Amino acid sequence: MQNLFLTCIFFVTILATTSAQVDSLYKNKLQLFYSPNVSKTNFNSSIENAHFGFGKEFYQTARPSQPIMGYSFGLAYSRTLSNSDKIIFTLRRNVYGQSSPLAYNYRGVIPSDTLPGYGGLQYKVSVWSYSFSIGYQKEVLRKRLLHFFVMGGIGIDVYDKAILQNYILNRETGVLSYGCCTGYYIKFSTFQKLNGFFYPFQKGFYRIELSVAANAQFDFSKRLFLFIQPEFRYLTNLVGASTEFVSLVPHGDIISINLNLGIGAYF
Amino acid sequence: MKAIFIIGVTIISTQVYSQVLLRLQVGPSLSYAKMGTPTDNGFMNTGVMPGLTLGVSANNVFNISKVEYELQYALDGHRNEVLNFFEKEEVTARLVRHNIGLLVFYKPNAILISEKKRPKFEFFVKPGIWTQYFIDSSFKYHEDTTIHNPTASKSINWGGVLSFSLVKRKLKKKFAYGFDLRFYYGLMNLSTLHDTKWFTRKIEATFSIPLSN
Repeated sequence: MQNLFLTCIFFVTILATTSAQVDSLYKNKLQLFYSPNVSKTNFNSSIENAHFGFGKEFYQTARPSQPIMGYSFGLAYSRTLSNSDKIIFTLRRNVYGQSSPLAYNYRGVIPSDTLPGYGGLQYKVSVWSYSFSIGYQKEVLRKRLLHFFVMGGIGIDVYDKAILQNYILNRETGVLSYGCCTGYYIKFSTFQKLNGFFYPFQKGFYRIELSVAANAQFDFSKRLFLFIQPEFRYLTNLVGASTEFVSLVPHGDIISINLNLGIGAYF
Repeated sequence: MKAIFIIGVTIISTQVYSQVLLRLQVGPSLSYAKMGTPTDNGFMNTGVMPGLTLGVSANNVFNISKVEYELQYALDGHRNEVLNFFEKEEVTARLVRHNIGLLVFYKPNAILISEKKRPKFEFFVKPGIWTQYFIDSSFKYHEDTTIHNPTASKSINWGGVLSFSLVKRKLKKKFAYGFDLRFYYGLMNLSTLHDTKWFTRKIEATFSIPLSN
């Protein structure tokens, strides 16, 4: 806690001392964004050992190896440090996960007696989280209304909830629809979030996030702009989470490639 | 009276046609389907299937240069690889569709114009809408008999499309060819099954040549 306090003082000092050097009319930017992402996680042990029994059966049928499409959305605030340097704070909601390949043979048998038109099963694990990061942004090129930045950041990603869903391909119609089961990992309720805010931190239900990104920004008025930002994010395994939670919370690191699309305002 | 009407229509048609800029578009595409349930991130993406597009686009119809139309034939669909099959390691499930489609683009002015280097190009970003009618469709699962017109699907489709277009500027009698990269985002739920959604996603790269001056 003391380190966090000192870190805050450090950043506030930087802001206060550098803001006077800036020539630009506006020193602050607020951005809203939505980003589709492709993520690949490493939750295999938490699927095989899931507290709902069918996790192991699915895992033995088809080992997960495929990335899935997820998304993030949130807001970012950046403050100009000098003419080309900015510090940026980002808060966002994320969905990551992984899926299995489509497999026909269910542990050596075909469940076609109970499922007419069975053509194979596939399952997916989705994880929801909140993340907060601090980054540094450098403007590398400015061309009239276009700005190009490179940026890097570090942050924390706090686990919220996760589920495992399965799907069945109908071999008469080609439709992949919801199958038999949904498995639920631990989910923090609104009550827990409000009354036990530090619980995920105490139990180690958070990850360290590292990110690098490139950003292209187009000013379409004096105060408003659009931006597109490809971003690569790496999130570590849960920090300090006990192995007793492997069956209850997906453990494993995460790789995510995002394409942030958003709108922002100068002020 | 009838003669005047025919002459009038002929003159108007001639005027309209003389102003229209026609282009032939042809190129490959990659399509897949997003299927599942809308809650809890419950969608799965199928495998990608290569396809083909052949179309004719028209610009400057009724002297409106900001709108572009395209009539096209498109072959697309989706596929899945099924692993862990008893006799074989991997089999294929493939849904193929033959479509007739109509696209309408809003065509603003060129964003970037290359002046210094040859060939000189203009770059356009064109948002639009598209609609398709499936004239034929079939689904084949491994060695099973091909099933035509799968009943779980509707016969029309529509959505948004975003096109990035690079067109060579016409210099003297040089050939004004162009390239289009398009992203299709299906907004219609194609599934007739309860609680299941089915949306089309497609990327298309076409080469275009002018059919009229």
